[in-house]
Amino acid sequence: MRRPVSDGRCRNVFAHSVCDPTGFRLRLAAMDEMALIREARQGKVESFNTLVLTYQTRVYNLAYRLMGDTDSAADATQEAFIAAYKNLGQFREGSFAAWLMRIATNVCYDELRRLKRRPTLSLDQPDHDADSEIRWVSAAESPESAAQRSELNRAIQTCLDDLPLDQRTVAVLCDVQGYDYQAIAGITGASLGTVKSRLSRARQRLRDCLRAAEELLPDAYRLKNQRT
Amino acid sequence: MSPVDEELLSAYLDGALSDSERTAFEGRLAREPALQTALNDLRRMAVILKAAPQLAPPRNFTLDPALYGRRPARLPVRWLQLGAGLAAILLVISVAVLVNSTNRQTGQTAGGAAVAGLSTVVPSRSASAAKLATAASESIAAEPTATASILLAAATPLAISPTAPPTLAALFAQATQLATATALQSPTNKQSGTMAATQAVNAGAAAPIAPSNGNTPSDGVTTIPPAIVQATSAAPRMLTTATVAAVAQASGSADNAISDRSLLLTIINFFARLLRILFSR
Repeated sequence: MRRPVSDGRCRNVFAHSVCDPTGFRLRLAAMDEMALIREARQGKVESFNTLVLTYQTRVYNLAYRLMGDTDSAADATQEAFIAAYKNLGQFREGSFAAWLMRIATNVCYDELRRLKRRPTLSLDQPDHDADSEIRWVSAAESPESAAQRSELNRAIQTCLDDLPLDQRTVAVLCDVQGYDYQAIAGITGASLGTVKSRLSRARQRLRDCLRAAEELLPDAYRLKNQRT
Repeated sequence: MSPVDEELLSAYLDGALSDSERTAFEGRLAREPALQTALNDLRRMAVILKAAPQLAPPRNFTLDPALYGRRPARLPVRWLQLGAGLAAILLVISVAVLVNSTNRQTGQTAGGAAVAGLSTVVPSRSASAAKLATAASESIAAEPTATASILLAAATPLAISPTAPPTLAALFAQATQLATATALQSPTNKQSGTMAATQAVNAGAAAPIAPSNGNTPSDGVTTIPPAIVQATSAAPRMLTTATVAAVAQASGSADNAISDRSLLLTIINFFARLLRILFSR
């Protein structure tokens, strides 16, 4: 079985390399990726699992930002990978990551619609995940840094949760995950113009929300401190 | 700020404006401080979102090979179409062979009736035998592929009396076979058929005759008894028409029925194997 290359601690999640849960960087050349996809199409689950390990952090974070809690994000991530494996024959060419993100987005939409129809409230879980339950990709250097990161995460997620789903999706894909307009249009199935206008409205609301929740932000990220 | 300006700000931030749009927008930024402030707020907001911490997945989402591994690959639609088309063709061929076989078996019954009639016609040489012989001749003309061996097999039990001596019966059968074959090849020249039969008796049947007659000339050429020559001369006229045709048709039908059945079984077997290969992948 082909194994992903582990070449050190993960620092940059926006680069081609991604992080696995243990914090090691996984690199997959495009050729290797296509070979793995071909093998997975022939029923080789091990090859598909290599792709899962490569992309699971990205898919899980997208699901978390869209759904707002870790349990739902984990369920959606698992469902997205199962759906991707079952529909691997439909993937023709282009970016496998973008195709995977589209599946994950659709899974999250379906789950959110289902939750909207039948809302459930867990008795033993607060509205937002306790920070102690969340594991981060990069380890905190100090307790202060860990606290800042938790505050930042809470503020961002609170503002994202207030956005309509379509605006939340483009904001997460563009500003959190780093996709360009074209890729976002491919993932969401919307036109380029729609993506631009949704992103513009999302940013407006996020800017207003973050300014209002400034006391939740770490000092380094407070808007008023950075105004010139 | 207008929604258009908000959209321009967002696109400018992402570098999604064209050169002319960007130049025009930068001119406005220099002239409008509110636009510049809004841009700065947007930039900081983007920085905050970019700094959003990445969560580590709570577990690996790999699939269990026991549940998802080595599923039987579905056949492409093209293969299914090809298989279905081939199956349809084979089905048509099978039905055609089956129908043909049934028709031939019906003909076999008719042939059997003709043979039964001939068993009484040959000794009596009645007028009805002549009519039946004519009908059988037409059958022969329709199926000229009847072989000499079939003719021989047909002629022997019908044309020879049970009381005839074995040697004479064998000679008669051979003569009948050859004469009939000749007559079939040249139906208009029955005289030559007769001559061929006589020659065949002269050449091929000398040895069996010699001991029974003891009439062997010094030059080694067997003399054929007049009775045999007369019998063989008469034989082609009769056997090339009625006897041979009817029995050849009957035996030919039986052989064809058997070969049709085996052909049908072969096709069905092939068909079943093909389906098994196509759908067992």
